This record gives sequence, C-alpha cells and structure tokens, in this order.
Amino acid sequence: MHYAIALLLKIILVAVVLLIVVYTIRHYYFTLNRLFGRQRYPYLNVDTADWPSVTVLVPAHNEEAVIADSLLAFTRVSYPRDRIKVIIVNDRSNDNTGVIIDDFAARFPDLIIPFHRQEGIGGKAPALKDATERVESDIIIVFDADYIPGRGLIKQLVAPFFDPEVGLVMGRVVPVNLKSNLLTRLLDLERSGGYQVDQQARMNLGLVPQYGGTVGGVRMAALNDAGGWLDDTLAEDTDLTYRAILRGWKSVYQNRSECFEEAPETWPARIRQIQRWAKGHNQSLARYAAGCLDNDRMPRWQRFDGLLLLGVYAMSLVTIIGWIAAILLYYMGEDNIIMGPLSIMAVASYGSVGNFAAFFEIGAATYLDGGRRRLLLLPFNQANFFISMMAVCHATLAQIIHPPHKSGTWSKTPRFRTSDSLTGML
Amino acid sequence: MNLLLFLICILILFALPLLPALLELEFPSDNEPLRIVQEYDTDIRHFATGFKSYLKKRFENFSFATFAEGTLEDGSSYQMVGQSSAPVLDTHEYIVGTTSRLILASEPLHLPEHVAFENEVYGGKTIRTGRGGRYRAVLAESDLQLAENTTVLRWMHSGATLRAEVNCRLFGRASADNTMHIAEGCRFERLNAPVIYFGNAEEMPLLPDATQLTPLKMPEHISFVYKNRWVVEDDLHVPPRSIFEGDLIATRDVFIGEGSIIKGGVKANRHLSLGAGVSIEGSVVATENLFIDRHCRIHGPIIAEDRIVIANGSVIGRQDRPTTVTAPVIEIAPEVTVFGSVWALDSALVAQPQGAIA
Repeated sequence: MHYAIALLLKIILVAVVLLIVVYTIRHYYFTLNRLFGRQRYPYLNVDTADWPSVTVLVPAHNEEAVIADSLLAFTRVSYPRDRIKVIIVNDRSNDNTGVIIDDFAARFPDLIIPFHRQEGIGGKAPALKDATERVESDIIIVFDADYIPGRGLIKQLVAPFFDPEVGLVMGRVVPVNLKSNLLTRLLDLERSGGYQVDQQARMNLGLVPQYGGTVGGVRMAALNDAGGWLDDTLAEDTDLTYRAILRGWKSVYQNRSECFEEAPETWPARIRQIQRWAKGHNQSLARYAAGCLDNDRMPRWQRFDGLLLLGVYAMSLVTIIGWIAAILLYYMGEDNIIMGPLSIMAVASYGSVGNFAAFFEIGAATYLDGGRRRLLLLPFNQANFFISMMAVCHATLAQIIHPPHKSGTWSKTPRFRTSDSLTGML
Repeated sequence: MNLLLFLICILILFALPLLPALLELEFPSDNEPLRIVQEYDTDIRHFATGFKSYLKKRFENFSFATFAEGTLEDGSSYQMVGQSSAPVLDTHEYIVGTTSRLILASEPLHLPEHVAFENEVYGGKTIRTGRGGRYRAVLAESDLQLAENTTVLRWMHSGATLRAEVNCRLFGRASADNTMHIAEGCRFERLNAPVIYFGNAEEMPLLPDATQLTPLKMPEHISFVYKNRWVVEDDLHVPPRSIFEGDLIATRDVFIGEGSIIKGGVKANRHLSLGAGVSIEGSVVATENLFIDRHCRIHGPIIAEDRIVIANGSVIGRQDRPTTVTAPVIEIAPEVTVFGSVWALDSALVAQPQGAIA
C-alpha cells in the first residue's frame, strides 16, 4: 500500500515538474525572442486606406465614474466619422451611467448610439451578444467603459483586418493608476510582462496571441463563422479566440496600440478579477483543449502553444498538487527522487511560486518599456503571485466542485477614478 | 537572549534584500504610467503642421517679404530672404558648405548647390533645392522641386507638387497635397500624396476582360471554407486568366497567374507572386516577399514583412480609394503609380527590379 501510494505520488510529482519545466522553457523562449528575435509589426504602418465601417461596442454597468472620459475620447478619434459608430451598451445601470450616455448621444448623434438594455441575461458577454445584433459594419472593436483610446487607436486596431486571414486583433492594456498603491504598481509590472513580452512574442512566433476582450477587435465574418458570442462564459474573449482559430482565422497582437485602463486598487477587487479570469479560462480549457489537439489543419506549434495558453490558470492548482506530493513523499521517506536530474530541474524551474520565468518576463518587459527603478519592486511580486495563485486555485477548485458557471450577473472591477486621476494623461 | 539575537539576525537576513524595494515603495522614483501619446494618429504631416504653427506663433508680426536676420531662443539664427530668390550666406558658410540658419522666404526660393542646411527651410511659394544639397527639413507652400542628388534628413512637405529628381535621398517623411513625382534612383522611407508617380508613370493599365476568364476551381488541399473565403493548405497556384470573388489565403506561397482577377484579398504565409496584368480588388499580404509583375492593378493595402518589388506599369490604389504599400524593403520600378502612401521601414528605391523573387 505504501509502495503504491508512493509510486502514485512520484508519478504526479514527475508530471507536475515536467509541466512546469515546459512552461519555464516557453516563457524563457518568449523573453529571449522579445529581446533578440525578429519583431513583427506588419500592420502598424497602414496609415492610408479605404477604411472599412467599424462599430465600437462599449458594455457598461454602473460606470458613472469613468464613462464620460471614455466617450469624450471617442469623439476625438481620427477614424473617418462617416465610417464609425459607437454603441454604448448600458446594461441595467442604477447610477447615472444612462444619463451621461444620453447626454453624449444628444451632442454627437452621428457617432454615439445608446443601447439601454433592460431584458435578457446580465453580464458582459450577453450584453455584447445583444448589441452585436445591431451592428451593420464589418468590424467590431470592443472597449471596457474605463478605457480611454488615443486619436489614432481605432485605425491601428482596424488596420490588421485588411489581412483576410485576421479574425481578431488585440492591443496593449496599460494601467494608468500606478500611483495609487503597491498593488497597482505590481499589477503594472505584471501587465507589462504579459503584453510587452508574452503577447508580442506569440505574435513574433506565429503562435496564438489572445484576444483579450477590450482594446481589441473582431471581424464579423470571423464572429459568425465561430458561432457568435456565447453568453454562458465568464471569458467570452478567450472562448471566441479559440473558436475562431480552430476555424482557420488568425488572431494578431499590436503592441503599439496602447490604451489606458484602471487596474484594481484593492486586493479583494484584484482577487475577484483574477478568479473571474481563471474560471473563464478553465472553461475554455475544458471546451477547446481536445479541439486544439485534434485540429491537424493548424500548425503543430500553434496547437501546442494554444494548449499551453489554455492551461495557464489550471497550473496554479497543478503546482500546489506538486508541492503536496513532494511534501508527502518526503515524510514517507521517499526522498531518493529528490536527488538526481529531477531535483535540478525542479529547483531550476520550480524556484518561486511555480516557475521563475515570469519574473524574467517582467524584467525584460520593464526594461523594454524604459522603466528601471520600478524593477526594485519585483520581490513584492512574489507575494502578488502567491496570493493570485491561491485565489486561482480556489476558483479552480470551486469550478470543479460546483456546477458550471451560468452567467447572469456583471462581474466588474470597482472604479476609483477621480477628476485628478487623469491629469496630464489626456 | 541568544534566541532573540538569532531571530533578529534571521529577520535582517530576510529583510535586507528587500531594502531597495522598500525604499522604492516609500520614496517612489519610477511610478509614472507608460507614456502613451494620445494625440498620435500616424499623420505624416505632423512635423510640417507643427513647424507651420511654430512659424505662425514665432513670427506672427513679421513679413518674410523683407530681408531680416536674427537669433532664435535656442541661439541659432534665422534669415528672412526677402525679395531675393536665394538666401545670403557668408563666406565661412560657403567655404564649409554648411549653414545653420533657419531660412524663411515669401517668394520663390532657389537654394544653392552642395550646401547643407542644418535648420529648416520654409518657402511661402515654390522652393527649388540645389543639386547635391542636404537639408534637415523643407516646407513649401506651393511646388517643391528637389534637384538631383538632394538629401533631406527629417521631413519635407509641398502644398502642391513635390518633384524629386534622380538619385535623391528622402529620409523621414515626404508628403505633398497634390501630386508627387519620384525619379529613378531615388531612395526614400515614407511618402504620401493623393497620387505618386514613380519615374514616368502616366498610363493606367487595362483591366483584363472578365468575360473571358475562367472561374477558379476550389483546390483539393483546402483547409477551411467560409462563404467565399478559402484557406488553402500549402501553396496556392491560381492559373492564368482566372477569376475569383472572395478572399484567398494559403499557408505557404501564392502564385496568381497573369491576367487573373481576384475580387477580394490575397494572403500568403510566405511568398506571394502576382503575374503580369493581375487585378486584385482588395489587399495583398505576404509574411515574407511579395512580387508584383508588370501592369497589375491592386486596390490595397499591400503589406509584406520582408520585401516588396513592384514592376513597371502597375497601379496601386485609386484616386477615390488611396491605400498603403508597406514593407521593410521596397523596390519600385519607374512607371508605377501609387495613390496614397508608400512606407518602407528600412529603405525603398526606385529602380528596375532585378528579376522576380521566389
């Protein structure tokens, strides 16, 4: 019995360590590619074109603190005014969101179209689904209500759609509220690593840059081919990304298409956010992992990396299982596995709350962004990663134990913006 | 006591590496958001527009029609040329062949040969540069003629027609509000005008007669089909004189036979080659090299991640549908017309192509 349990634990530990090694190699490869490889920005210089019609969708639920800044920015974009519409989806707000939207719509009737949604399932994905029925253009660009696009951003996000293979586009999200507290500074570092290195490396290598649901666009043909928005998911962005790429559409990332956002300023808000992302991502893992593996019409490396991308949040639980297995094996006196190559791999890659490569990504990203002294905060990111890991693990376990998520409520990040927050930024 | 000392040492050992982090947290020195230029909108005329605004503000009470000289805030000097057709340079400037004056003219301006102008040159009417001259930036409210072997380093703009004679080097941005003529041998980075003629381009190629073309058959090795969007595994060969309405995408190379019409976009995940006389009513995209043979008509945009070669007689874009041609390296033959922009990330050259590329 002891032998059987020990054997099982060893198999689990070996599998976990190997998985972590794979992710470690992946992230180190991405970072080295970002630093030394060929960078791809093929669509960035399309400055003159017969710009297609585009609809910007902005789902909003109780966004009175931020929606006016966003709408003002849309009135200033340089996209041809006769080719752009902005549909603000006011989903049953019970604050002044509706009033603000109607005011802007009255002032800019040729541009801003209010959609006051009173029926149907609540939530971002259902709101997008309903709003999309009113779209007449070829392309949709989606922004969250707290985002503030620059003048040229819409053109930059639309340009990749001139490539007939492209179905989804993602820009870069940049936290604007760094000065609030330690959490926002840590999240800025984390976002930097995720976009400046991870997403761009995937773009460089022809893998799967993920459409992230905001500062991003979708071609209507790709959306329809993939089956439209699904309203039973917490991560409609990840879900759509995979359905589209499995149908032969490409997703692309534009690192220089940057837009400000508000990062969560409290730990409870941060934990809720990451748990939402984790649940949505895990849903997509369950739905599309097999499809990724089976689809021999996709290039092999794309399939493999697509699978790894789907598994990023599940790895938190996997990592903890590995810790437990290692501790149990130690107390069972089965520590001979600690010696040898496996222990070296484990230590090298499993060095810090999973693998250390994430810190390398953040370091490289911050360096590329021109930041220097902010990197001194990197040790605190260890705590951030640990807390996130626990939160994700909790969310993953809850998903396994409880019935699958059914959408019905808005899960959104609290807003903390004041009139001073954006001074000098716009 | 010993235990207490031990614990204190452990605490210090763990806390010491965090000291820089704690200092940065307490006394933040690098906590500004990533700088995003909210006003950036890829406008090629940004510097020219900015320069005009600067002149309007700085010299609002001045008339460039009167000769005058002075000093700017940064210590450099300016000269208003007045009624003369050329700036007045001193002996030293002529000997070294360089002037750092900002030159301002209200009348047609003719600049001396083989002189480097380290500051901007502004002309309220036409400007003709001198042969072999080097310029930081040039702005003409009317026609701008760049004599042969002229080099412009940062930007140039014409409110009417910009002509670059042979072997000019146009770094940075070149824009014109009406037309642009770029002669053979010119190198450039970024051009924009309603119409750009390379070499002696004037004639529009004839479109193939669509009624005499053969509808393209669906290839056997097709991966995905959605309405009229075909994704083909491996190479895609479109036979000559074919017609297809929709988008064609290949996972490797694409070859469009001569005289074909594609009413949609074309994408190759490697090299793309268009035969002579091909018409593409959409974009053309290649992840590596892109070769466009003679007398093609393409609506655009045209995007390649390596090199674009465009042969004689091709027309890119339309007057009512300007577009962009962009790649790291671009070679354009004389007798090519582009409506819109040509943007090379590394370099572009007007020259006869040295044979087709695979």
